[in-house]
Amino acid sequence: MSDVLLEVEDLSLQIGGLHILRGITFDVKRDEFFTVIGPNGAGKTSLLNVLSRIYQPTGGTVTFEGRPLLAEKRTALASLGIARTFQNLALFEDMDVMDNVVLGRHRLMRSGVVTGAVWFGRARREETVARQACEPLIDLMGLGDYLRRPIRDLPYGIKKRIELARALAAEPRLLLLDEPAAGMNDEETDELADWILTAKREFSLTVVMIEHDMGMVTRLGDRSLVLDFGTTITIESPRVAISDPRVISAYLGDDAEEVDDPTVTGNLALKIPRGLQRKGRKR
Amino acid sequence: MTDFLQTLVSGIALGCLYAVLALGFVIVARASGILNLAQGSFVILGGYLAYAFVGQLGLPFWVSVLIAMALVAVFAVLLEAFVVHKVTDHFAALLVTFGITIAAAPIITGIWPGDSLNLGDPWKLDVLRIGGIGITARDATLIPITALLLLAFFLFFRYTRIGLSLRATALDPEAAMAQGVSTRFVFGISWAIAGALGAFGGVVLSTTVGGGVRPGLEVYAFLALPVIILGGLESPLGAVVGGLIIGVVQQFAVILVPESWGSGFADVVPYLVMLIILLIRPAGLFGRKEVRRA
Amino acid sequence: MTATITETDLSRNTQARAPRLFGTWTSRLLALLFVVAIFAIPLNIADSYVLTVLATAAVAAIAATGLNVLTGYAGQISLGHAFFVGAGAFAGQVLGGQLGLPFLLWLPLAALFAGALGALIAPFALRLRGPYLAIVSLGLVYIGIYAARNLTPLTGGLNGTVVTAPVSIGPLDFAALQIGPFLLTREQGMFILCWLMLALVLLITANIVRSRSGRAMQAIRDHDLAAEVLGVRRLPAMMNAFVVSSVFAGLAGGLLGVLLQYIRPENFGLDLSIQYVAIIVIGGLASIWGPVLGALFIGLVPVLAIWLAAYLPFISRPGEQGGVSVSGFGLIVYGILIVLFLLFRRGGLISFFRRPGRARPASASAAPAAASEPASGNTTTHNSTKEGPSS
Repeated sequence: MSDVLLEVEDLSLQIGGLHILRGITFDVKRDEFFTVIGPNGAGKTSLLNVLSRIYQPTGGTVTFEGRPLLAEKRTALASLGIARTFQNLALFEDMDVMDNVVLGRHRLMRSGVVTGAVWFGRARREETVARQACEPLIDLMGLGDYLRRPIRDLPYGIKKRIELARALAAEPRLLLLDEPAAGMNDEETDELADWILTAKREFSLTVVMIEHDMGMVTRLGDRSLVLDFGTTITIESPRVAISDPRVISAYLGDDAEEVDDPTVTGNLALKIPRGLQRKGRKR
Repeated sequence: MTDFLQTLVSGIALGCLYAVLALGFVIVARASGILNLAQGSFVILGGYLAYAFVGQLGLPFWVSVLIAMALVAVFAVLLEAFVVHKVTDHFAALLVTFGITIAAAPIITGIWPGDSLNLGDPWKLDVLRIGGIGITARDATLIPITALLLLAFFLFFRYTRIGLSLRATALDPEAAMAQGVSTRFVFGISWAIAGALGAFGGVVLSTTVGGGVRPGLEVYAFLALPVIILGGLESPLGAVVGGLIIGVVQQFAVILVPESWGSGFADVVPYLVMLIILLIRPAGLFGRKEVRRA
Repeated sequence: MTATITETDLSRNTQARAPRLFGTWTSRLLALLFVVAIFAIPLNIADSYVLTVLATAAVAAIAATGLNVLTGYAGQISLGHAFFVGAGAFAGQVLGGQLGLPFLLWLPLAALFAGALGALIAPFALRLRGPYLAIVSLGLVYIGIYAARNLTPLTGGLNGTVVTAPVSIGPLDFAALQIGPFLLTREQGMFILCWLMLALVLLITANIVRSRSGRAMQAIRDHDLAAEVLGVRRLPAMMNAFVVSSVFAGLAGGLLGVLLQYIRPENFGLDLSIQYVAIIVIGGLASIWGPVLGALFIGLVPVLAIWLAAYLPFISRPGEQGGVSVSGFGLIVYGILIVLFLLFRRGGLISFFRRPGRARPASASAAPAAASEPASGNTTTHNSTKEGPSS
């Protein structure tokens, strides 16, 4: 078993006239918690979109578990062992919690529309098996109490966990998270970080996470890829990255004078105003 | 040869009508991002209002037409502002606009009952003979007027500030807003133009040659839908080119198709063309492939 | 009482089992009452007009249930449902009337014929995201009428055809049903037949919705990208919905044929499609009982119109000139109600009967955003799709 799960080489993405990503190269090791940070518009979500096959890059290669990923369609991701969450939540709000999570098992089930119409027999068996598989997941994510409530009315934090549970139900080996803490306060963010760590541990996941919350990044991340304007600034451990003057100036623009004083701790988390740190809507 | 030219000319005239009807859909699609099935109500309202002004109020024909176009434009703007705007998704918007046409048509034909009313157009049933080809007076006027309308339309889009705002909003609404373009204004103008175009189409359809002012005019707007599939849902150029192609093909179908294929084949020709296009080039001649964002 | 709500079965102990359709005593009781009513009502009402109206409503509900699978659950707008109903109707007469096949053969075959047409047409319209199905289905209606008018040996051409297909299952002839000492009239028998078929269709639909393929349709409707990333393939999911919807439409068509006993191409035009759309929007999109409620409601509108015609000057009775005809009145009501319900009560009539705070929310899908936007890069103009977190 190779140590490296995901290899991205010289990835470029151009849409219209815009160079969204340029020459991105990095690799993610098995069991690593890899974070992607950078100011708004740096191309982080676009990178995730390439990895989750929503965008087709204009250049470069991506290798997942030794196989070329760019040749695969979006719908193959679950079978390949890749799952993702979305920045703005993509829950199916007209179905209940269990249905959302069970959807994660879609590729592991077989029954079609006729079997479903008949129900008795394979369809019912599959449903039972799928739900049994999802039960521990729901317990793990602490969602048991919410099964009967309409998703629409649930708190934002709970919805995030539901989406996470749904992604996990697909039994991925690689989990892509797009700004999971967007719109959350400190307390909620800490809680969410706990849930993510729990999930990673329980399911031996490799995680690639886009985040703005530096606290979360430093707490969870093994390494950080810093992007700005679609290019790599650096790849290093989060604590080092946030003190890296190049990274600081990427976030703050040219106002780098403030941080030249060596007596001031070079901690990005302290320097970046809240608004910049926590992108995403506070609701 | 004259038969060929004859058919070609009548095809072009029909194509002009299709282009006008299709443009109404395209403009709203570009601005509001929806398929506006209320376009049908614009068509029938235009025809009947023009009739009301000419036939019942005795106003001159062209004055009536312009007033009708203006009134329908206002109706369209109000519709967008108070009804369509309240709907937040494309699914509901399509059904809501459909509902509007469904309700509007019987109301209109209830107010002005009759199987075929006389619009009082100046062309009546006159046929002109130009170089051995017969062309109805209506079509002879329709083609240059449509050409002028389209020219004005394209000039407007390319060279005026308002036109620029419309294009900018269609391309990137957030950037346009950042530049100070008011989306409300853009929607308003777009719907007003769509309303006016629809009304004009309704007038053309209601001429004596066209069959008079009658129930069912709203369905003709739907006949233009294959045109936007052929041309591309959001392409004005596509609406014109597509309209002309379908108009010409339809008229040739009328004379070329054997008797055994039955009556009414010509009327389904646009839909058959549409199916073929969906098979080989679904985005249409000038349609763009969509860019998805996660 | 809705049949697909996650009931107390989702208590901690029995979570693993998929919720039963009739899991509570209330739902079982209501289901029983429903079946009893199917027999009790015709046995107690002799008025053939009323029975026919109700039987027609059941058939409309069958067709509307099909449309609801496509439009409500899968989020694809079709304006051409009447095409498939007509296909089923004429096929029914060809198979049952002309070829003399027995009921248990001609009806399913007619339904499958409509389904096959659906399978043929679906790839055209469902490959691209956007309002393509709405447009194509509109065209289908006209193509269908053209075909029906010209395939005279099969359809009777312009004038249509009498429907002579049999409605008997073995010794049970629904046209002349014998229950004990009672000999039922054709209308009574047809009432029972149509409502029994509706019950079957509702059951099948409820099963589909709670199973993998039903979930897949709804997922694609709500967030097609997220669904695809989970492994749900869009085209198969949509095609499933389309074929199911066409099969139900064909079934309804076959029944309509034997109910009306005379069908002509004009019966299956845009007006009929409009009725079905009105039924599902008014009744309640993406719900099992919505189409039934909607069909009953819509079935009442012409009755209401005729009654109102006596009092309101602008409604004209058949034969009268001027004013709004009875069918015109219906269209006005449908159009206005479609707009009002979509603006103010997405859940439809059925949402008035649901208790708030249930696990499966009352309102129908608020934003099946993927379904009908024009294919373009501008997904953020005007009608924005669902936003993220609610508060």
